Amino acid sequence: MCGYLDEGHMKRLKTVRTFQSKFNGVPEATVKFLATPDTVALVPVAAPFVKLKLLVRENDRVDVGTPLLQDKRDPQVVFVSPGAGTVEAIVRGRRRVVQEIVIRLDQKSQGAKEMTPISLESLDAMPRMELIQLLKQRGIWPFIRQFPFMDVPDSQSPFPMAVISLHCGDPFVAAPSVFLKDQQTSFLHGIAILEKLAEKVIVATPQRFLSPLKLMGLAKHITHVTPDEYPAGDPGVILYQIKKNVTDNASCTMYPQELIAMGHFFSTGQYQTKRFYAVGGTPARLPAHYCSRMGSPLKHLMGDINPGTGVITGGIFTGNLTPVDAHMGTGLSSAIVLNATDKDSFLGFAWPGKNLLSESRTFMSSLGSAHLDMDATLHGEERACINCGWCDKKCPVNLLPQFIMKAMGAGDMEEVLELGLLDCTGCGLCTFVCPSKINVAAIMAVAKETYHRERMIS
Amino acid sequence: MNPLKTIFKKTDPYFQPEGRFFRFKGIYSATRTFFFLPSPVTKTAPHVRDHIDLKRFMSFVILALLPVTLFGMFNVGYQYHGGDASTFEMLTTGAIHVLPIILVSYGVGFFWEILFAAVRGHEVTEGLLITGLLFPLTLPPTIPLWQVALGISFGVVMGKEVFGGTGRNLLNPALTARAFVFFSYPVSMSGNAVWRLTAPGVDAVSGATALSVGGSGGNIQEMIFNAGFSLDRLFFGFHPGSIGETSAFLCFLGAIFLMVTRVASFRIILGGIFGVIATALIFMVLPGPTDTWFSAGPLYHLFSGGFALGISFMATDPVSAPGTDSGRWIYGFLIGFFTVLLRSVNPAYVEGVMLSILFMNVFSPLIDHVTLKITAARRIPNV
Repeated sequence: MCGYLDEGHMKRLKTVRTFQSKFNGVPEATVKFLATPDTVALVPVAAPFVKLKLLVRENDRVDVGTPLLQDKRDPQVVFVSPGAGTVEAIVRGRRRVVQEIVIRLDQKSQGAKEMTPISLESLDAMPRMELIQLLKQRGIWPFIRQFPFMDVPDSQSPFPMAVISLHCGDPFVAAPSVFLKDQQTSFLHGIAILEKLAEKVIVATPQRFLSPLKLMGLAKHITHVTPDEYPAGDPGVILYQIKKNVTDNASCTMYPQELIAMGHFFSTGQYQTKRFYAVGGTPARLPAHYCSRMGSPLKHLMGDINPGTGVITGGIFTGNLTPVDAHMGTGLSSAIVLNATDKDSFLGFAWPGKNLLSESRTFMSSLGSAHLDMDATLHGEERACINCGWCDKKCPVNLLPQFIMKAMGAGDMEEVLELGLLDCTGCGLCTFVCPSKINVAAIMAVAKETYHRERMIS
Repeated sequence: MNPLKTIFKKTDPYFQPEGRFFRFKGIYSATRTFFFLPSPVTKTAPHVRDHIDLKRFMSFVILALLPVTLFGMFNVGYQYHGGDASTFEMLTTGAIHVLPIILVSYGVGFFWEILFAAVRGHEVTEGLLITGLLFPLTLPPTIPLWQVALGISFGVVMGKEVFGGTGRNLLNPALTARAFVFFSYPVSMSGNAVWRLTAPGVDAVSGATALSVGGSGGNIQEMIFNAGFSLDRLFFGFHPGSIGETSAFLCFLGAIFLMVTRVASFRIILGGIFGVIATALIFMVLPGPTDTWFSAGPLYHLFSGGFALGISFMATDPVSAPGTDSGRWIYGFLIGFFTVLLRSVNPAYVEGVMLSILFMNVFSPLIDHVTLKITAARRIPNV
């Protein structure tokens, strides 16, 4: 599977199963810096399994780095405030789960020193447990996520690998050429921290970002090069391709911008609160990269959106439709404005489909490679699985989603695990291509979650 | 606004739970979604979805079957007039006899489909669009319409609906229907008289099919040729037989269309063709009777009987086929193998395609089970 590039140290990974169609409204590589928003929020989307305990109340005064939430399983793990100001609202979702802690910013305490910087040398001398302790206290630990459940990691044993992918291939996710600019020191500091935690650090980039990275002088830190298409750069897909044995399954990963923020915090002693967001689709502004605060309000990023459209945050395939008055989730770097109104099309099954985006070969559009529009609708009705096998033709980790789905329906967890459920990275392509419109990815995610909860109880 | 849409808008309240015709909601929504493909906003990630849906998926099979159906009509007329009439005349004669069969098949089929949809509370599914057309194509043109009605009823109810509808059936419904008619009314489905439509009062010209040739000493290939079945005639389909099976050329053309658009698995079709070629070649070199289909060779096996129709449109029904890639190769290959085997060693039953496909339908869960275990064992475990 792997060949060697002339760069010597870099390995080129090949996935044959990727998404091939091209979208309209892909964000440009230009960056626009936005003014500081009025509010920011801590949105703990990256921690689905954490039982959260609130540490603050509305109207409390908080600083950048003040713990706001605590993990009930391990009280040392905290989630910290992305801004300084007063807690304006605590938004709860279903079953009263905390969704957002909204902080109204005040300008007073910007730029205060939060920690004495830890140089690379002192980092080297620091015992592993002390480092983990520090990461937990400072609210950075939950940003490290461990395979296969993407939960807050277990700190007992070192990670076999830390897989950092600079870009998953989704054209709507912030590009490393944007967020790595002038951040080389922080990035390398972050890598140094991971080297303390993991036996091996993998840094992968899609082919198309290789030359900008070379210009930034980071090429020698790249270990793997992936194809450009989604989901070849997904950390789970990379892990699947490079893992050698069972123990490698317990590797960890981190969003690249959070890695930079971690490095920044250690090298300067200050939290980095700025983040780059890729805004795509049909926003009021130009689809491009926008630099704003961590946990920015969506409205701040994309202005007003047209009625009938919705915002997907977190990538075109993995992101969720988010209310416009919400804030960006932690770790997410993508917001896409798409048409989201119920539709129907006259004799929809019979049109040649020159402009209809499809991964199948049943539309005229498959003859060309034009960039096409997309919307957030189903394009059909849900039906029973007809076993066509299109889902497994798209699975980047060679699963057979239809069989996993059926075994899950029969409640046979052993079979589900044997078929490799835990390798699923949740890329969503199986659901995208399903002609029966079954949400296979969601069924797999539920299976994974069920199993993880079973394990946590026992 | 589209005038049709206005009509649907006006009639819509009658089919809502509080409306007068709520119990006919199934037929209403089937009609409505046929004209207006719905596209509701997605509720879970991924929110963007492919434009392909089951209606389009299935209509591609219908599209691939259209040339076969039209030629089938033409050929029925061609056989009726003995080729001695204008193309239009032959086509209309054929259509007059074939269209009622298709209409009965669709009509009765949809009756059951809608009945089950109403009772079970599910949608009327698209699977019947294919079953309702495939089943008539496997029948001789002389079939009585009441047998068509009985056959499609058995196929839809026992072959599909008792299992829960499209997607859950074990056997191909169209072939289940044909098998039912074949074993219940063998007089209408076998022998030499049923495959050619003749004008009333005219002495029946022998309507034997190529597969019934043989068994009387001599060389089988010469016998088939002397009976009037040259390879090109078999290939292009100007000979008596079931309505849709005669033209191997058009069936394989449809198969290529389905393989290119990936609606049908190329593994099943190619596997089946390999299976026929390999088995026929092996039988040719094995010592055995030279006057039966045992020694007919791969080309005659490929182009005669219902193999082309069966492997292109019935074996590729994904629901009753295995779901793994390796399983599909095995399944296709064994269909080809059993087709030749049945034709060669069973003189009482000359056509083997229907039974080999149904037989392999039964085995496809087992093929899946074995191939899944093998693929799972190759993975690095992750538990």
